[in-house]
Amino acid sequence: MAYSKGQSCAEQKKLNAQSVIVLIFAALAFVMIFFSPFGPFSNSYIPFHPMGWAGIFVFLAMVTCYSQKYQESKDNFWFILALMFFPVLISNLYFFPIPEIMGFGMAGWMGVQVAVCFVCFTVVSKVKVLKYSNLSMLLLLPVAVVLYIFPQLGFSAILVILSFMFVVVIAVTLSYYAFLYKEYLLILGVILNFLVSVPIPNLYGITGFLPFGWTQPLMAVVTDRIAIFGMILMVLSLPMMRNFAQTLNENRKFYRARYCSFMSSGD
Amino acid sequence: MIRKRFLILIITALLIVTVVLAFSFYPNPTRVEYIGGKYNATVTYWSSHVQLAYTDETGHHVSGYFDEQMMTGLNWINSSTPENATFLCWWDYGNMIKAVGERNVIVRNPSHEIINSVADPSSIKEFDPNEKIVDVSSALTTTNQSETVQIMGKYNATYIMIGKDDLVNSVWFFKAAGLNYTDYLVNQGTSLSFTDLGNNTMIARLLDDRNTGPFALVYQDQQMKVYKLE
Repeated sequence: MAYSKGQSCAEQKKLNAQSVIVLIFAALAFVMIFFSPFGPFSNSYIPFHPMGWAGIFVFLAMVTCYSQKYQESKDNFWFILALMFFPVLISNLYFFPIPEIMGFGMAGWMGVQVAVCFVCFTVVSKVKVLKYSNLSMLLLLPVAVVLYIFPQLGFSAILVILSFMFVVVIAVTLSYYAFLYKEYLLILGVILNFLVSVPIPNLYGITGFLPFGWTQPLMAVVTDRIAIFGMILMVLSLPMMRNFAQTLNENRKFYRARYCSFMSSGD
Repeated sequence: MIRKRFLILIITALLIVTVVLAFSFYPNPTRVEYIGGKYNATVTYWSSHVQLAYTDETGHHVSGYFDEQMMTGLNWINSSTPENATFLCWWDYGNMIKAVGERNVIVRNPSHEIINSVADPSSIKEFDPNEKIVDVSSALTTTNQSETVQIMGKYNATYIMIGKDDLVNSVWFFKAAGLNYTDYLVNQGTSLSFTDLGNNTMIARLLDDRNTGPFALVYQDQQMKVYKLE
């Protein structure tokens, strides 16, 4: 079958550079998940802890992705999302051999993330339920901080309940906005990040209870990887991926048409 | 076009990441302490850890973990035990006893089989035979003190050193000895404790200094206990 010149209406489309950058950083972070002392790839090939690198890559993917989303929608939600994960980046940098930054440990920076979320959504959210639930969590946050700093007060059960309330409010708030944008992978990422990976170390930190047991490598290895995987899902936006695949498909058609037209002109 | 607020966020993140990577790849020690002695030991204090380096009798350059709080106990070992004494202890303390205490140890590295017990496996450059690790573990986890004496005799060891972290380490003693640690240890709130069966093991008895049989407590501080085989 021969095509004549101009028969195809396919047009060459440019790939969005930001989408490409997001995919590259997300892919790098994803690869890092598989480097560990327990397999499948030895982490001795990676300088320092692979989760540190994964944390850097996934944050760069997030900030690039959400910047693009912000340009498209002008919705502050995307900036809040990027801002919320900035303390998580710093927390992940503790996988490198560095001293504490500003006196906060990993848990401290997670607390900053929670505070950023509550402050921002209290100020910005126009949905009353979300606004006031974030405000009430913001008011309860100092109580949790005091209970965390002074465990001798003996209110660890209250701290567990508060920490679960915090992650549930964050997850619901983020999921609501993600649902408005039909970002279903973002919802899945939020669930993995806040409702699966965070409660496990929280529960251990507060009550000493380890779901996987003392020597279970899963305990040390899996929670960080679930969190990173959740963050990767949070940047793999379905609409962006659809656009990306569509552009690739149209370009494939364009080049195929050009090739066929070149071949037919030679007949 | 990236918005200004995102640009600020990206630039700040990149600056912090650059500083962290520079600090990680080109670290500066905060302090270097020369201990000297028979093995020319040096302790280097990094921001994230303290490193012990020394040269053993074979001319081999060795580096390992160092706990500065154990310095008093290590100096006691150096000054108060016979020069040819051999210590039975978990491998974590092996390099410290060797370099600062200047005494022989049965193990000072993990075996390949227990590498999962190491927080940062990439820091381990040498390995000891698993047979030695199993022997040390068995000597500490047995309920029969004669077995401990027999294993110590195999290596001509006359001292046992127990660190304050050995309750937590004992999870690995039981695993390395081929035992089910949950039969011996139980999680109680934020801490770990021995079960009734675990309380009969040598490690529990040595940690509590009770019913130690032929082992006499010769030194103790907040960080360690040293027992001598009488």
